[in-house]
Amino acid sequence: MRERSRCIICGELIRNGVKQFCDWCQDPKIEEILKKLVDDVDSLLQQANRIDVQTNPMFSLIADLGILGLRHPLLASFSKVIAILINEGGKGVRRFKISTLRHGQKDIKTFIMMLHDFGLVIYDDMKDEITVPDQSLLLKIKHELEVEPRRNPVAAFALGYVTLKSILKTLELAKQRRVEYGEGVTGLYSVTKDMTGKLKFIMPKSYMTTLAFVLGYWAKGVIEFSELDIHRFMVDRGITGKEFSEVLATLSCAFATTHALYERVSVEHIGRYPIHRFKLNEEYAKLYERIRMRGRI
Amino acid sequence: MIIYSTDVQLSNDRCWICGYKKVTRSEMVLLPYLCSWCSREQIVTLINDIITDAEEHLNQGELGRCEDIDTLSFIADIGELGIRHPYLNQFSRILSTMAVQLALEHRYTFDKLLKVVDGGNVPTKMIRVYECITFLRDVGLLEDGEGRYIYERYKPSSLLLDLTASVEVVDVEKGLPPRVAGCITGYAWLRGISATINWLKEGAKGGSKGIAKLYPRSEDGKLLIPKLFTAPTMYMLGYLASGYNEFSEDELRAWLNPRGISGNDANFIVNLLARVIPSNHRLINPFYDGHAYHFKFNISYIRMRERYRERRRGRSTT
Repeated sequence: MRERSRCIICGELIRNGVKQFCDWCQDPKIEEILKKLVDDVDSLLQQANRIDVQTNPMFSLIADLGILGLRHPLLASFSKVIAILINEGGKGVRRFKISTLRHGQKDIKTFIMMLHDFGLVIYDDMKDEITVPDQSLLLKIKHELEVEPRRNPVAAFALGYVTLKSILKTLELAKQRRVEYGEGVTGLYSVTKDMTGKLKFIMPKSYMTTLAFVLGYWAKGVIEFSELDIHRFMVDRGITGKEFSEVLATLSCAFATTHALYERVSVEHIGRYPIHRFKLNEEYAKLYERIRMRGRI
Repeated sequence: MIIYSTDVQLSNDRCWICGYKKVTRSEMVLLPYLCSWCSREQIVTLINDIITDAEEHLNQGELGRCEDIDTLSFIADIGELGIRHPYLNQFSRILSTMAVQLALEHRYTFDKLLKVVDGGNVPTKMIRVYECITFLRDVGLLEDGEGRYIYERYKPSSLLLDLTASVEVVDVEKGLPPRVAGCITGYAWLRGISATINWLKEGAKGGSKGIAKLYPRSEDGKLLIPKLFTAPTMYMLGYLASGYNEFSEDELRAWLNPRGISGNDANFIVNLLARVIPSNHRLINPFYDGHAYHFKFNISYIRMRERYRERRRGRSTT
């Protein structure tokens, strides 16, 4: 019998158990544009003192992608960890015991390791504590929140940045060897044991799949799409029913946490039922063209 | 003697443009012969804008430049969709033959038109030619006149004469070039659709008008809709008029399904639009995302639509 597995980024069922990624996530266009985006953001972060998500489309895009994960139960607890680090770090507290950061989740170590890998914190294994370094992105986010305290999506920037970096790292690692648990994007997974004692890895699929869809369409230059396209993508990855409705509501800004990914969300009567149509924010469409054109030159 | 009646009795359970099957009583009562999609004011406005702009270009004898002028290229693409329809393509042939004959002989004759029309027997062919001639009168390419001959009774309008004057410059002995033929027929289709929408909005009284004149009839005399042409045309006009630039295969199929187009017919439309079936049209650019097609309207047509919008807002003088 053939082994079955799931794509470690978007969760699509892969019949051939040897592969770790689906065709969608393995598309070189995604890796290429993601790499350019992350490189550009890194160089901007080194130069700029502020993370101005209101005016800079790169920062804004990453923050918007981070917002998509805020309603996920697992990632919401990770967001709380980031929130503590931002708030307390801004007040001058730089050392934290891991045990004080847990919010509902038993194990946040893999997530902390992710933050450590991307330089947001320094993890001390011996003392089981973390330190927020002076050059940490989290401190810049705190400064930005002090400048613009009301309804600022910059706090979601950290989650979006970490997720995108981890996806990129995963894709790069996969070129050399098989990705193991805890590496790359799998740092966002949780592990439990089932009734038989077998280890079970649970990925935050509704976030990762939405992110893969949004990122994939953006990387392919698609500006407009509809609920039917999202539905087909989600059903292939096992997201249906209420979970799908949640994803749709998140994308169409039906919840309080609003993003600016789509400038036009309209309802059309295609067929007999009304469906949502989405049009990508013009700023992000221009950003895509800018990154793509620079690559050509 | 041929007894031919143009009076039709339409049922209110479907849209007589795109073929949408209505299921609720309110749909049948509120919009008796049209669906909510085809009755949109935006579509009618877009069609009228295209027709007005196209007439300006055609009157200036720019038919030969139909590749370069976006409006003419768009109507040529619509004509191309019509040429692909198994029933409507004979009317495209009639119009092309008429244009060629007018260009060469300054008149058209019934016998030449009869040669290009489909049909098992001469009476059927004559009816179809007659339908086409009255359709061309409806869309303004022919006018009522007096005389013994058909080209005197239904004389070419100044627009058709301008068109034929433009086609004289090309080698018409072998027939019209496909894009030029598509441009002339596309213009007729669009005007026909506009005339039919107006006729249906006014309650479908009297004989059919516009493109409905060309609709085929079943053996028991019922009117049939050439949906393989009208449905994708209305779909794209609707999308373009709504300000959208892209759509996907899934959306197209979901839209076609309540119009009774599924299976091989839907595949035909998708493949025609994606140019898997060889075609000259440039309406949309297909892109395959691994699961289905994603279509983007030709950037020239998006600009054309924006130009019309700007004109209506009064922000532009061109």
